[in-house]
Amino acid sequence: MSGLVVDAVSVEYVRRGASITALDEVSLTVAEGEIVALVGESGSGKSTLARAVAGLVETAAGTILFDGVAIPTRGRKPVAMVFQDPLGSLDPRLTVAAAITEILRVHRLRPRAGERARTAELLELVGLPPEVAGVRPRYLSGGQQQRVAIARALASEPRILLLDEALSALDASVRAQMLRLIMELRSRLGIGALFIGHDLALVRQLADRVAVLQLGRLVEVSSAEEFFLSPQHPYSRELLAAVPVLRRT
Amino acid sequence: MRSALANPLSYGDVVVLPVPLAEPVGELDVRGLVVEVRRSGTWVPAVRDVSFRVGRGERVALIGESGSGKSLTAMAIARLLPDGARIADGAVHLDGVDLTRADEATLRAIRGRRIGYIFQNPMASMDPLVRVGIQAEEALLAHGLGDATARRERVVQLLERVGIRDAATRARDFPHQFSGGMRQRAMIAAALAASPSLLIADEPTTALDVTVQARVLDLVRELSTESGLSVLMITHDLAVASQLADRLVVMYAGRVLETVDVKIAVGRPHHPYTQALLQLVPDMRSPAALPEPIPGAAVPPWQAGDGCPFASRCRFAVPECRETPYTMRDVGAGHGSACIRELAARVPEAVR
Ligand SMILES: Nc1ncnc2c1ncn2[C@@H]1O[C@H](COP(=O)(O)OP(=O)(O)O)[C@@H](O)[C@H]1O
Ligand SMILES: Nc1ncnc2c1ncn2[C@@H]1O[C@H](COP(=O)(O)OP(=O)(O)O)[C@@H](O)[C@H]1O
Ligand code: SF4
Ligand SMILES: [Mg+2]
Ligand SMILES: [Mg+2]
Repeated sequence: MSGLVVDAVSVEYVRRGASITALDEVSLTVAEGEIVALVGESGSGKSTLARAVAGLVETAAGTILFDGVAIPTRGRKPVAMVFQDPLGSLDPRLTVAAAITEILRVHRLRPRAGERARTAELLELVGLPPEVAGVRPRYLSGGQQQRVAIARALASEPRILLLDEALSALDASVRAQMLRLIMELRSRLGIGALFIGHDLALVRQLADRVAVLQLGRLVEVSSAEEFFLSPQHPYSRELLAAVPVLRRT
Repeated sequence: MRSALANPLSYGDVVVLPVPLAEPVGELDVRGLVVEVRRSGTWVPAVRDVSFRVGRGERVALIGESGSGKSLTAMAIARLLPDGARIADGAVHLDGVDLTRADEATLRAIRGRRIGYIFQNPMASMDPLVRVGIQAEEALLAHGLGDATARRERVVQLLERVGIRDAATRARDFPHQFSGGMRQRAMIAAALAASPSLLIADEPTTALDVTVQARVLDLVRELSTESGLSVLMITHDLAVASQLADRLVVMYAGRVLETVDVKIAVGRPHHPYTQALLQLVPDMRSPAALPEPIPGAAVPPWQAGDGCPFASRCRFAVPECRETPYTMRDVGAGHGSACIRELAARVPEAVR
């Protein structure tokens, strides 16, 4: 099968000598151009799944394939992660342009002469003005920093973005802009995404399918329509009932 | 349910401490507050002429985009401004006492006891070397409330109320043994421990799971209805504000742009900025209409000029908007707005 296929993956962590099962035989697919939301309370294993897909944690069992091939643990991957805190993954000494160029060089994606043009193209793609190229990330707003993180993720030309709470620290206004950006990237690049977030209203706008994790197990995988209109699992219903909605009375 | 007003230390089913509140009024009156911050060596205004009230038992939400001056306003009220920020003008009366002129001893007597404060970044305000339960007891200890058993019991009950399972055991954990969301909840319990009459909560639920968020909002709502707790809650999420607040104070670029009953705000707000915030709320019923972003970026308070600070992003802007000095005016009973225009269609059709 094409796209991302996670098949019966388990992950165990060892803590204070004891082993805990963070993921228990999780199976999930994300096709190219598809946006799958992964929801569930903190500690349910969402980040662990994203990290397993990115090859950042070892799996105890199961397989993870992209277009039928195992995702390499080193080097260029068909997936790229974006985290909640953009500054955490950016070197404070590097300008925005340097941070992006770094990725192009590591993976030898462009000849030196083409780096500038490609960087400009990536900035344009994430809706940043060309001036930010020479700026260090800490002088940018939170929303702009997250755009830089996305541009950097896109630099390695992934087919699936792993967005781990990437919008969670942004205010409602910047979230609305980023929501449009993700939709636009999908239509311009045909890129897919595994979207992790606790804002279900955002998931409603963004996702084609919704996967619900509870204590390391997938308890529901439904189309977004099904999930929001007739959730199957009691835990899904509990999550939906708790969403703050605009109260008019 | 016991009458909480008779004994304000009984918060619903939470343990009663033997010390009653002196004058649990919790009325806050902020007048002409100006807060300045230091930027490359000079002081510039970041909160400009902010005025609003929180009545007894009232729940007010301070709402606006990031950078609009909400946290500085809240910290100035409790005299908790960090280095590099100062109150330059204005008065903050809590039950008749002007906190901007209060000495350290008065402030110590008030903080934790009359004002419970939840910081935007609770991780930074926890001591990594002190057990969570002990930290949550701090206000009780500082104000000599209850004996060791009563203090522990109250803290455990509050931890349970904010959804910490097995709270009696977990209270003995150190902060690093708690997840981010659990630490945030521990700080909420700590802020409520001494039964303050005013709770100031700076984005208290943003890092929490929806189910825990709903629980915390329930608890705060319940305390305010039952015990007359006054609440000033900061959020950038109008949906959360509409769940909790009676009234909204809408801030932008360091200014208050609208003070409005929450029902009017979600139905027929006066100020175009409030309308814009309303259009950011995603529609849970359908994915068809994406929330409409506010064009452009938020203007820093010190660059916003003397006219309407929202003019650079407002689709109704005319030259007079920039030229007319900022002022709040009454546009209805208990409803103030800083928009100078009489706009026929206040609510665009796009608003659901
Ligand atoms: N590096 C680690 N070492 C030990 N346990 C971990 C580690 N990372 C996560 N865990 C545990 O694994 C479980 C799943 O965590 P995580 O994937 O971060 O969940 P989520 O992202 O849904 O909040 C939790 O119980 C967490 O405490
Ligand atoms: N200590 C400080 N020194 C300098 N500038 C500050 C300081 N604290 C806040 N600011 C600036 O003041 C403005 C308002 O900040 P804040 O009150 O934190 O906004 P909000 O809470 O609405 O996001 C922001 O532009 C912020 O960068
Ligand atoms: S005063 Fe003018 S610019 Fe400001 S909100 Fe009203 S219409 Fe818009
Ligand atoms: Mg996580
Ligand atoms: Mg703030």
